[in-house]
Amino acid sequence: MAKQVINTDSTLSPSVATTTQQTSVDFNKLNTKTTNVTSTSSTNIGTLSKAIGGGSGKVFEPINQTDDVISNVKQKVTETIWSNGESALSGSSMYISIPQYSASCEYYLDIYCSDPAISSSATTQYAIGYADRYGLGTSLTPSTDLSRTLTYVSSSVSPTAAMYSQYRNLLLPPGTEQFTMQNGQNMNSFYFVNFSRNRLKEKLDPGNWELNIVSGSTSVTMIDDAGNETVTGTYGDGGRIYAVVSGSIVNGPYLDGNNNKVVMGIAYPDLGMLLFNASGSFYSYLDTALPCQSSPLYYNTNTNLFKGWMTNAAGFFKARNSQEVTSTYYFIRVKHNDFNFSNNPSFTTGSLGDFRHSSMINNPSTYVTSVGLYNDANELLAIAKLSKPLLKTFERESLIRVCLNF
Amino acid sequence: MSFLNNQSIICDAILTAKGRSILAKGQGAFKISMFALADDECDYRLWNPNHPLGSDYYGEAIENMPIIEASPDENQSMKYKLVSLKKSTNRIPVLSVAGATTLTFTTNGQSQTVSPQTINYQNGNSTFGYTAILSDSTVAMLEPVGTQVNFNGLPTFPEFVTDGNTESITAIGFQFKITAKGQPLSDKSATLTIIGNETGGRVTISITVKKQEVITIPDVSDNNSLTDSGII
Repeated sequence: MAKQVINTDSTLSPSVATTTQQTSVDFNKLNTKTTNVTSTSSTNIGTLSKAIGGGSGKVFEPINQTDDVISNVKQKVTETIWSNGESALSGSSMYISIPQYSASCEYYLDIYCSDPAISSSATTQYAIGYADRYGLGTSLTPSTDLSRTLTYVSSSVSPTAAMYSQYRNLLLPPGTEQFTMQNGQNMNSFYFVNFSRNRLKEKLDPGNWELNIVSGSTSVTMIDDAGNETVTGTYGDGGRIYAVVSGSIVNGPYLDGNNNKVVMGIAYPDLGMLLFNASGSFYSYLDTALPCQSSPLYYNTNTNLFKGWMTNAAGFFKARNSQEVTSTYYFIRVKHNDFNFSNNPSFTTGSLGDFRHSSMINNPSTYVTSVGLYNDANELLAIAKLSKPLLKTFERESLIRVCLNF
Repeated sequence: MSFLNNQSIICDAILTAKGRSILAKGQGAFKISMFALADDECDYRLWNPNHPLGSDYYGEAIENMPIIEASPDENQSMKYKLVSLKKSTNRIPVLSVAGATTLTFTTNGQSQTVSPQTINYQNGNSTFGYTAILSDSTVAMLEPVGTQVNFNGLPTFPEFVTDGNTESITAIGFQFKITAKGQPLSDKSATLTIIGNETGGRVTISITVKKQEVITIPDVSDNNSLTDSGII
């Protein structure tokens, strides 16, 4: 039960008021050391207060914790993941940072929704890159080494192998070396998309992202299969796992001639990670002229290759983030006898607190614009503003529902 | 037939800086137990009791006014609280500080006692007293003196949002002692805001501490020439 700090009875009689503690303070006696001040007329204090009578006023009202508070209400909130507020980021709106490219393009590339060389407010939307179990696909890989063995990986400094190891450790159970897609095919190399943490909020909204990438005259549109309500996904070390499949949000997964989904990778919405198999269906759709795994000629191009596909002006990327908001609702009950006077300086005129409008004597009207939520120590912890001023009189009661999100 | 206004309002709250600070402390310290209402943006001069369309339109100009979004700075919010008083009240309780609007100190350690008062209301703020907030602790010291207020959970009012090393001081009482701190570099000013814990009114006093010239006496033990000049 909340502690009642201030008198809750706004109509205390003089006799009641005199029973309250510490009512015998003599301000005139206490103020003995003030020197650089000019004193107001002391007659105001005695005569005016006696003329009005009454006890203490009340500016704070306790909140009934049982009846007026609903806590721990959880609600899923989704919104577009892009900082420009658009539902889709077109390929022509994707930019990279030259300094970041120069420093770490062997590992990943940050993608912006505006040119960071021009706009100081450009923020990273997501990162792309290439990971290879055997360390292929980078200029640091010896061009003649195609052994593709784990021994090779452990002795190399290949950034793509390092990236593969990173994702393996993060997403696979200990001891598991390979990613296996829903159709049973293993992934020894993949392109990855990592959403920026501040864009992702809590998680990627599964079933509501769609990536269209273009290479030459070929384009591929991919989604995850979470949009199908019959698909619940699986749960692994990386959280929920869905298949990346060919299809669109509107039409759902594309089914081939055998009525099967065309699986192209793995989606980890809880971590905001998408992995696209760098061989197989995904790759064959895009550009078979650049076989990234079969020829040493293209070792240095894989991340840039993916960047080229992603940032093609004809492509686009749709995605939403999702977060679970925990809310507490406070029902603020403004009773008819309460809060009918204001300390607003425009409410009065002169220095003696006279009402500005004589029509308000015995019929005051105030407006509520703010609700302050306090703790027992009178500290203002939260504040809510109404969309428009709310009239309050002795004839009106109001109920204000204040929602505080955490 | 139009729709009825059911007077149920829904709005979202934001945490203040103080609220975030207390929330970060954890241990169940964040507990909202009271509310207050305010009308900071309202200008009651717009209330028009002579409106040609009648009493329903007296407050038309105020009611049509857009409201500014909430600020997380608790010191800039809830300035003018609504207060519950008897219907027959014909004057609003007013806080005053014995006429003081500015306090000027010229020497380090100089002090003055500020005694807030509530006029227009018998025993107003006589139970829970006043909260005094000195905006900058490097300017002066603030302490309650005289009769102590029986108020749990001191300090009770918001701290100022400050920059750098300056911070506010909060005290609760019936009168407050301000003691100047030496200012060797330049004049320095701060504000003292006093708030009625019952009637909700507030008054602000400007405090200035003048720069004091510091006389430096060299350490003669390291300089024999000064001894020769007869300083020692």
